[in-house]
Amino acid sequence: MNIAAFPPSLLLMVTAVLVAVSPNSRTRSIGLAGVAITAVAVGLLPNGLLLEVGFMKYAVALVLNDASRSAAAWAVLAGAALAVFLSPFLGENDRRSAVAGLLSAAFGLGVVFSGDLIAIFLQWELLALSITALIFMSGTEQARAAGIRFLLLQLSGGFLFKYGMHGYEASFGSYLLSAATQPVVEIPGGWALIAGACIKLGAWPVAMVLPDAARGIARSGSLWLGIALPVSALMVLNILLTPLPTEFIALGLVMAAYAIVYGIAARTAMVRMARIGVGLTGLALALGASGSETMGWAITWLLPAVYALGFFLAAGAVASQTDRERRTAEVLVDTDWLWRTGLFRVASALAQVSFGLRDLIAQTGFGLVTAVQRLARQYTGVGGLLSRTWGIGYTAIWVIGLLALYAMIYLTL
Amino acid sequence: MSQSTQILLALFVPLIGGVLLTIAGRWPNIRETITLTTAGILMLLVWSFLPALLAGERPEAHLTTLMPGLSIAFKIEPLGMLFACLASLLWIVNSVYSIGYMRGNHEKHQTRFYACFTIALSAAIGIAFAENLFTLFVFYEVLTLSTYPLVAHKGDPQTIQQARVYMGILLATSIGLLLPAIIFTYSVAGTLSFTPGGILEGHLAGPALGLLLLMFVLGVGKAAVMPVHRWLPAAMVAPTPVSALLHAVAVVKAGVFTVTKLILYIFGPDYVFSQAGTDWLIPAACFTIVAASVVALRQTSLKRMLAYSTVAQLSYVVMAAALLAPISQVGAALHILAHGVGKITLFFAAGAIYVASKKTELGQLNGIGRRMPITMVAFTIGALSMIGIPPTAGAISKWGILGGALDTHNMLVILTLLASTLLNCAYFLPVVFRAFLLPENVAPKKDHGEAPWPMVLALSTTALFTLAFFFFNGIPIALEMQIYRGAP
Repeated sequence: MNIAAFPPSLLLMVTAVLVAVSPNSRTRSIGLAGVAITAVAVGLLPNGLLLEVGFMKYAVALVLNDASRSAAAWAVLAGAALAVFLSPFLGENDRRSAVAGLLSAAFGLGVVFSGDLIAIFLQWELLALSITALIFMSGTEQARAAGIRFLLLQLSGGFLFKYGMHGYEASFGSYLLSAATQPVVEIPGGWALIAGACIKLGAWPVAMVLPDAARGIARSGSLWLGIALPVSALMVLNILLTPLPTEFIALGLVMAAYAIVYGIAARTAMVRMARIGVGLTGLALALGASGSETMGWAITWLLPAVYALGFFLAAGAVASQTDRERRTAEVLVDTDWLWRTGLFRVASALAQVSFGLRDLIAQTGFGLVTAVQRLARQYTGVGGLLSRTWGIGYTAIWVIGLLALYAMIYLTL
Repeated sequence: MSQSTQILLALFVPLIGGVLLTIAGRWPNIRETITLTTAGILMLLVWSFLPALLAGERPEAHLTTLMPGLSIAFKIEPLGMLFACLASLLWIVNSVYSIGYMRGNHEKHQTRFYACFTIALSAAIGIAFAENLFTLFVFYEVLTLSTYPLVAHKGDPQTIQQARVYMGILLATSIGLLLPAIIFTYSVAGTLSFTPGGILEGHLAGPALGLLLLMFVLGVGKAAVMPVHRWLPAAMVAPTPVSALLHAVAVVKAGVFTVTKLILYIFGPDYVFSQAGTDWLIPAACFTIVAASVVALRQTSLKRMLAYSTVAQLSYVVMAAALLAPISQVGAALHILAHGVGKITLFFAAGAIYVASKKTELGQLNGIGRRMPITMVAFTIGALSMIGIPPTAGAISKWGILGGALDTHNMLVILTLLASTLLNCAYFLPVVFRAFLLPENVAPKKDHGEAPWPMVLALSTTALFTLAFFFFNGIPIALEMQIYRGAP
C-alpha cells in the first residue's frame, strides 16, 4: 500500500483506542495529538484515487481525494480538535464520550474520502453507531430512548440509501462515484439516494433528530453532535448532486424556519441550540443550492465550529456554571427575553390588531406568542405530540409510515 | 482415504466419540478430552472437503439401500457443505463452553449430556450431506430424538412439560406433514434425489404444488415458520449450551437448511414460484419476521427474547430462498452462517451471565457490563450482527438478501427487512445500554466477575468469528455462488 494512501480515518480510530486505554488526565493531550497527526496526513494526501480494497465481489474506493474533500476533512478535524479541547471546560472530562466522538469523526472522515457508494454506506452505518454510543454515554433513560430513536432513523436513511445504490449500480454498472454519466436524480432509485442522505443529514421533516439526541446527551458529548454527520451528509449531497438543485433552497429554508419557530419554543438550552444547528444546516443547504460554490464550502467549514464552539458550548457552559441539571442539561433558560424586546412586542401588537384578536386575547389572557409556542409544542419537536408518541418499539412503525409516504409521493409524481 | 470413506467417517466419528465418552463417564477430564478430540477430528474431516467442493467436485457415499429407490446415501453440495462446516466448527467452541457451563453450574448427568450432543452432531452432518429426501428425513428425526434428553436435562416437572411441547410439535409436524409430503413427492416424481433445478417439473403443477410446498414448509417444524414456532421458546428451559445447539449449531439451522434445499433441489425455485398457489411463502415468512420481532420486543426474559429473535431470523432464510434472485439465495445460505455465529455468541453471553450472577431477566442486567465486560462486548457484537450493522456477519448476509429483494422489486420484502432491522435495534440495544450505562439495580447473590474462563474463551471466539466473517467471506461466497452458476 502506498503510504500516501493511508486512510486518515484510521489515524483517528487509533487515537480513539489510545484515549480509551489511557488515564482520564491524558484524554485531551492524546486526542489533540491524534487530531493534529491526522490533519498532517490529510494535508499530505495527493489528489486522485489513492486506495482500493476488496469487499465481497466489489473493489471499493476507500480513499479518493480532491479539493472539496480536503476542505470537508479540515472541517471535521477542526470540529474534533475543538470538541477535544473544550470538553473539560464543561465540568466534565468524559473519556468515553471522547472515544465515541473520535470514532464518529473517524467514520465521518471516511465518508468524506469515499470514492464509491459502498464505502459511504458502510462508514455511514458505523458513524451512526458511534454517535448512538455517544448519546448513550450520559446513562440516563432519556439518553437511552434518544439514542435508539437516533439509530432507528439513521438506519432507515441507510436503508433508503442502499435502495438507491441498487438503482445506481443498475444504471452505471458500478458503485463508483466517478461512474455516473448522468444526473443521479434522473436514474431509477436516485430519489432514494438523495432521501437517504437527507435523512442522515437530519433534513426536514426528520429535523427533530438532532434536537432529540441533544435532549439526552452529556454536555461533553454534545460537542461532537454537529461535527461528522452534517459535514459528511452535506458532502455526499454535494457530490451526488453537483450542482445542488434549486429545490434544495426551499428545503434549506424550511429547515431554517423550523429552527426559528421551534428554537424559540424549546424549553431547554441544549435543545434550543440543537435546533439552531438544524437551521444552520438548512442555511448551508440553501446556500449550496444557490450556486455559490465558495459559499457552500464556507458553510461546510463553518458548521462544526459553530456547533461545537458556539451553541453546544454555550448551553453546556450554562449547565456547568449553574449546575442546575448536571447530566441531562435540562437547563431552563429564560425563553421570554426575546419576546420582551421591542421588535417582537411591536410585531405582536400589529399582528393582534391586524387579526382582530385583541378582544379575544383580553378575555382569555392568551397571547400570540403563547399561542405559537403552544402550537409548536403541541404538534412536533422534542416535547411535542410526535415525540411523545415515539415509544421505542413503535418508532419503527413511524419510520415505515414516513418512508412509505416518501415512496407514495414518488410514485404519484 | 477415499472421499466416500471420509464422508462415512464424518458421520460415525461423533458416534464413536459418544461411545468412548460414555465409557469414560466416571473420569470427567478424560470424558471432556474425548469430546474435544472428537469435535476436532470431525471438523478436520468436514473441512478437508472444502478444496474439492471449491474445485467443483461433489463427493458421494452410499451406505445402504432399504428398498429400490430408497437408499441412505450422501452427496456433498455447496449448501450442505456450508452447514456442515458451521456445525463442526461451532461444536468445538460449544464443547469448550459446555465444560465451563456444566462444571460452573454443577449440573448432573453430564455424561448423558455430552453423549446426546455427539448423536445430535452426527445427525446434523447426516442432514447436511444427505443425497436424497429419505436420508434427510431419517437424520432429521434422529436429531429431534437425540435433542429431547438435552432439552429435558434439568428433569423437573416444568422442564419435562416444556420438553414434551418441544418434541411433540417437532414429531407431529414431521410425521404428520413432512413424511406424507415425502411419500407424495416420491409417488409423483419417482425419485427423492436432490437434483439442481428440482424433480417436480412436469409431474406436479398449480395449487397441488402449492399445497405440497405448504406441507413441506410446515412439516419442517425446525424452520419455526409461524404457527409451528412454539417449540422454540418452549425449549428455552434447556441449559444454555443446548440452547446454543438448538439455535446456532444444529437444530434450527437444520430446519432452514432443509427448506432451502427443498426449494433449490426438489421444487426448483424458477419452477415452483412460477406456479399459481405458491406465492404465500414470502408473505408467511414476512409475517413471521415482523410478528416474532414484535413479540421479542415485549419479552422480559433474556433467553426468551433471543428465542423469538431466532424465530424471526430463520424466516429471513426462508424468505430469501423464496425470492427468485440468485444473490438472495446466496444471501440465504450466508445468513445460516451469519446467524449461527451471531446467535451462538448471544446465547453464550446469556449463559455466562446466568452462571456468574444467576440473572435471567432483562430488568436485572443493569450494570452487568461493568462486572462482565468481555461477555457484554461479545453480546454487543452478536446484537449488532442480528441488526445487520457493519462490521459484522449479519451485514453481509442481509446485503445479499436485500440485494435480491431489490433485484426482484419485492416491496413487501424490502419493507419487512426495514421493519425487522428497526425492531431488532429496538429490542437489542436497550440490553446493551442497561449493561454498560445504568447503575446496578439488583445486588448479586455473591460478588462476581466474568464466568469461568472456558465460557469466556468460547464467547470471545464466536464474537471474533462474527467480526471476521465481515472481512473474510471469500470462501463461503465462492462456494455458494456455485449454486446459481448451476454446478451439479
